[in-house]
Amino acid sequence: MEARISFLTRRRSGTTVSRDHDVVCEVLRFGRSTENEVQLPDPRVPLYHGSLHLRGGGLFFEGANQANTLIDGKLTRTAHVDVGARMELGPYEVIVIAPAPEKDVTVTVELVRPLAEGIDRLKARSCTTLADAGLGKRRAAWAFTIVILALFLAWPVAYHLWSPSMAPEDMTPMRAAEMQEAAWWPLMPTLAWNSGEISGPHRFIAHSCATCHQQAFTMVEDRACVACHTDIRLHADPAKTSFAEVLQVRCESCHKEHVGPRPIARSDQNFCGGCHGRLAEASGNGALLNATDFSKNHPQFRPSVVVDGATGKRERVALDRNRWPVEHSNLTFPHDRHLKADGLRVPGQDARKVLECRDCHRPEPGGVGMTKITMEQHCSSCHRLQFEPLAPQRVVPHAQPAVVARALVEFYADMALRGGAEFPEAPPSVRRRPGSPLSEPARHEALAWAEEKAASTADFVFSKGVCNGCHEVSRAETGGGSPWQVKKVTIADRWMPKGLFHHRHHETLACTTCHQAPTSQSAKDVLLPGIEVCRACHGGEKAANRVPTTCIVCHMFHQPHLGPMRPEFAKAP
Amino acid sequence: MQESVLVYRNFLYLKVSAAAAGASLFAYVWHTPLGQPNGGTWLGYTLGVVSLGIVIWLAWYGIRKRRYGVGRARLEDWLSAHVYLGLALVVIATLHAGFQVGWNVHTLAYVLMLLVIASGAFGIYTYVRIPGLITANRAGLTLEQIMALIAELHEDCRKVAVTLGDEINELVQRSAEESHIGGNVWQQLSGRDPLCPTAEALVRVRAIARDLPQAQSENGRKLVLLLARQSELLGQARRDVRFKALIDVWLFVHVPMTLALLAALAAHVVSVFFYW
Repeated sequence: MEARISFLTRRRSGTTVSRDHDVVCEVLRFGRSTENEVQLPDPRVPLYHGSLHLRGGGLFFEGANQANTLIDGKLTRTAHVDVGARMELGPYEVIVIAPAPEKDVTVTVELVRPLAEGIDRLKARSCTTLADAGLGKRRAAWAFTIVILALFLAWPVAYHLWSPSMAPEDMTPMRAAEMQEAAWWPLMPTLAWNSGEISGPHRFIAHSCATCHQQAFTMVEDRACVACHTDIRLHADPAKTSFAEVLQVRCESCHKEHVGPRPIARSDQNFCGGCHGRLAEASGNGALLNATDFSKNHPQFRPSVVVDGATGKRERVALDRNRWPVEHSNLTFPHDRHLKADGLRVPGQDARKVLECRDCHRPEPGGVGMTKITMEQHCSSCHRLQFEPLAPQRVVPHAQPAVVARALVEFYADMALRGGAEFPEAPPSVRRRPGSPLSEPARHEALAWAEEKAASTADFVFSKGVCNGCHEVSRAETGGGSPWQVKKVTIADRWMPKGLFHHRHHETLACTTCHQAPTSQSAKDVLLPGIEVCRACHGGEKAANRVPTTCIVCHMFHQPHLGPMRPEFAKAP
Repeated sequence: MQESVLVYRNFLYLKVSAAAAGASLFAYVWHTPLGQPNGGTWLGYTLGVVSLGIVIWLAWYGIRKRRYGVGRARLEDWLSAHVYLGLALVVIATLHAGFQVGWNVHTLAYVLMLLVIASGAFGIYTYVRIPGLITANRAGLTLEQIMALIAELHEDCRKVAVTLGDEINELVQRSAEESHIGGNVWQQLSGRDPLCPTAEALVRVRAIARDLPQAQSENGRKLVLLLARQSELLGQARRDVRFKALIDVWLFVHVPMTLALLAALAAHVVSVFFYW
């Protein structure tokens, strides 16, 4: 058959342009392939879609199996088509029109649904990239950057510059409470700069950063600390130490804030060991010894032992097993006789009492040392200073010999002047009936007797078992006053003044664990334990099988007997 | 290429980064600071300066990668080092902080850094894993081509549905007019549309087609096949969108968080020395 195919192209203006193409063929085939007489170049059209056949004057359309064709609005595979029939082949519309002259068939072919249309609508509905879905990098980046810089940099700096700073000593509890109320972020933006919790004692100024951080970009100065801690003492004597750094060290080097509710003083033994590991070499004369670790490198204890009780002179002597120090306190006190297992006789009572350590030794209220032992409080209930069998209730005062002598004279003078004293050797004036008058010569006689009696009693008191039971007593005629001298007693209240031993922390131990008092026969014994006794329980900072014990458990950094650490910051009175 | 960045130069930058992290760890263990390990000791300051330098250098990659042919080192060197040094930073910065965290700007910077690194690590994973999945899923087509096929199938369905009842027509019409690919961020990342009109049309047309009269049953069957194919292509397209979204999404965290990190680091450094 001879066929004419008019390809129609619709212009934007609405006019139609036609391009005719004549073919001679058996059947008029439609499809995407170039083999077809009518090529429909669109990806949506199959390679072969269908064909028009001329049979017995009639025109028939026969579609391919998979192709869908609408003919005059009906989905069909084969159909008889007349002039005017409208066929939809994919996006193309094919219309059979009246045959042109000398042609059997004439069809117009028009692409009515260009490829873009369906897919464009699908694309318009679809969103296939995250950027199109509204995710952005730039905007988010700017937003985060600006918010963070504003909240965590600009606002805190502004707050620091414009908020009033407050010296800690001006911080009243009322003011602290007010600040506490306003202390929430972001009203107080510097809270976000806080690198860690403030320790308990400083928490009342925790919301006033500028109290310590007084100057921006300057390390916290000691002046801020000394403003409150006015009496902080040096660690070493500037005249003696060769470690200048320990005099200039900043407070903040050892006291680290913002580390939570724990003591802010550093306890690292290495910190001390830095200098104390080379003290012996630095001092040169052997007066100072090295110490870096309690169990591994620490000298034997060297208590300050009283070497002369009369002058109170002390010397540091090591607790050497072979040459144990001897204390010269001038007191006679055998512990063993006081701690007898079967007890002691109680004067005036038919009973015995077993003494315990705590009957005399009581911890101080602070728990570190022991309360002072006094004659009146601890000894006198047994050691009564009686002197006169006729007056067993009377005792001499525990005082200087002159006072004792005076008390004796007064006692016997009173007796002599009253009369009635039953002393066989006394003159009649003394033994007269009480109340009877006394002549002047008799009064002299009585007083002379009293002086003599007082002197002989003093001899007894000082030399025969009252005073000299405990004291070293000597006699020397000095011409005036009492001839008796009692050596001054100096009892060491603390043998190791630079080491803090907390008695209360150790009260679950028996006293005899450390102090061998029950076998001590003399007050000359220094009843201290050697370091090995402590080491049975305590080890160095890193000890695994002992109680870890760093330097500052027993020692203090700031020495109370030295001068102030930062006099330059001390406030003018 | 993606995997070659990891094995680049026989893991040169992995070795360098591992050495840096190992050295930091060794120093941390060896160092006995006074008090708790923290950013304020000499080692803390050192590790902090090193971490800050690494962060700035890593962020510079965002600028460097846009400048082709600048500098002596190749971009592969930069990327390989970027990946491994970024991972090493987790170790170095954590040791700088001495494992201390709190509600403050310092920990904010640390958390932002971890977010950046985690998103970057996810990025490495997607770069290694996803391209193969994309290729397999596309089966030689582009997304554009898949969408063209879907659009055409819409038309085909419409044609077939013309001969069938109103209900079917309506379903097909909705499927053609409302089915979409991707959508909001979540829909793109999930790769599914649980309310897909095409899927719904397929289910319902399949049910209706069972009871169609003889004359319509063939078209009914045909329509079911077309809808099934369309549904399959939609799934394929959505998976493609999902894979691309996965490859991209980490950058939307990585890049803004990097800028946020730089801001937080600025605040961190200034605050530390402001209140020294």
